[in-house]
Amino acid sequence: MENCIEMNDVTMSYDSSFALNHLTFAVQKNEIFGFLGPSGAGKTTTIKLMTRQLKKDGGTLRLFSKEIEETDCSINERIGVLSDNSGCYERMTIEENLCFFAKIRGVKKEVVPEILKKVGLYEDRRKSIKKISRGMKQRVVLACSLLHSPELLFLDEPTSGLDPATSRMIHDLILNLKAQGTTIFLTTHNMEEADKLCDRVAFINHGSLIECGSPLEIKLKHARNQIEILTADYQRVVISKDAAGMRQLLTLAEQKKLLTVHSLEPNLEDVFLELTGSELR
Amino acid sequence: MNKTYRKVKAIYQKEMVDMIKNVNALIMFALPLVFAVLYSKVMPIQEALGADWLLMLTVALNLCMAPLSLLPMIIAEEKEKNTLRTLMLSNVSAMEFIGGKVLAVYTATELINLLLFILIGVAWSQLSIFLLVTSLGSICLLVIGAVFGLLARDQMSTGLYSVTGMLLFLLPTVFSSFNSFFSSLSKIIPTAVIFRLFTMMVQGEGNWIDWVSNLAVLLIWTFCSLIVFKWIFKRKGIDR
Repeated sequence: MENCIEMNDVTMSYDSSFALNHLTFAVQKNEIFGFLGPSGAGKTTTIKLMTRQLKKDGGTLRLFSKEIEETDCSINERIGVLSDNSGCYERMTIEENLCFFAKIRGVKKEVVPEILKKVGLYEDRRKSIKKISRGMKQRVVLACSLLHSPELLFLDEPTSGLDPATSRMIHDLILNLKAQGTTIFLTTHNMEEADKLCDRVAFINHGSLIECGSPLEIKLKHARNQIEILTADYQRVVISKDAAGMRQLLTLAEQKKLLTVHSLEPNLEDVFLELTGSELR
Repeated sequence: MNKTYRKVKAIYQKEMVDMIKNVNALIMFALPLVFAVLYSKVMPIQEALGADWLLMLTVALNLCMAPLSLLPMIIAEEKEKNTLRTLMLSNVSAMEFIGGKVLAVYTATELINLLLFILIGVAWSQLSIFLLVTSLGSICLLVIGAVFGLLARDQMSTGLYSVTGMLLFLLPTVFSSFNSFFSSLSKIIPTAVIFRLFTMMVQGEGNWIDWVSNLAVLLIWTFCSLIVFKWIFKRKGIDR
């Protein structure tokens, strides 16, 4: 599978402290890659490096198989970015904002209604940016980043602070974009979101990569190999997944003392806590 | 080249519309016009000091308001509201961004200069000379305004640079006839030089030394401002 992003041993520091510490990973074409970690872990710095907003101190970073230093501004024609420092013009309506960015991008105006429908803002297109909610603004910025149908989309905490309905709409949109062939680099500290959307995830903490793989792989890798049983007298019993545990399970079943059986797989948050010992914020 | 033209044009058009909706911009454009009406129609100052002096006062005010205050403010607003970052990530270069803004403010400035010319009632035969001289003079002020825009972090902080610029460029121009210090200082101030060039052209006064020295002042200001702009841009970038 062709790689869209390749990071190899990348370091980056602010003053004397490492923001990224020998980071190595690759993002394949047409996958949703989740970059997970607590606030200050280095997620936004990584996106800024990949979108040429910052310069790395060391290592190699390739975008579309080309060294980032060798790329010029034209790389922005192949990528879209939604970040916490993206904004839209407040004295303009939603539609005017999109039409302006369509002009900037050299995209036909006819694309604007399509994109507005995609992000669920078509009915509100004549509303002034000043008068819309944060969730709607977030969708306007997302719409702006989709105007030129980018091959690679960077989404920096796209659902942070949004209500569940808006978050769900953005999730559906992300899955649709993937279905259309877009590669998505998603940073979040919402582990449920990552589990639901991502093909692969990477955990980052203090600028270092601590785990990378598909959500299922990671969960199985860190599984405790245990089963939780609820007995007829409402006692929770945890048994291991070995022969002895299975005999115990069988005995309980024969005695008709078995109410429920659950395999104890950790979720992504449990794995992250186990690996870092710190909570996600 | 086509892409650059398209982006500069889009920013220019947006800015022209945006200035009409921007209360700050409207007040800045209205101030010289209000002064022109007050002094030429309401108070009898025009008769005492002459139409030329009144034109100089209001044009100097306009040149200080638009290029030195409004331009940095609209650049800083883009930083503050994070729209500059969105533009940069939409493949707009810093020069395309500044170019679109400067052109829009230049158009608005010259439009107000034209209105001032009409309101004060200077002879129509002098219009082309007036527009030529004010256009020449506004270039260096626009570059200085762009420098202020680079330096300011947000709209609030543009005040520090704009007020300093206004004091430097407006006071010597307005008070040059009343005070010898301001009179000497006005010889190297672009806003005052614009007016001197205009008077010389209209009245056919001045020898080649006057022409060269006045034009040199404008050129030196423009050249130095461009160097400072380039240096700050290299050091600071546009949105750091």
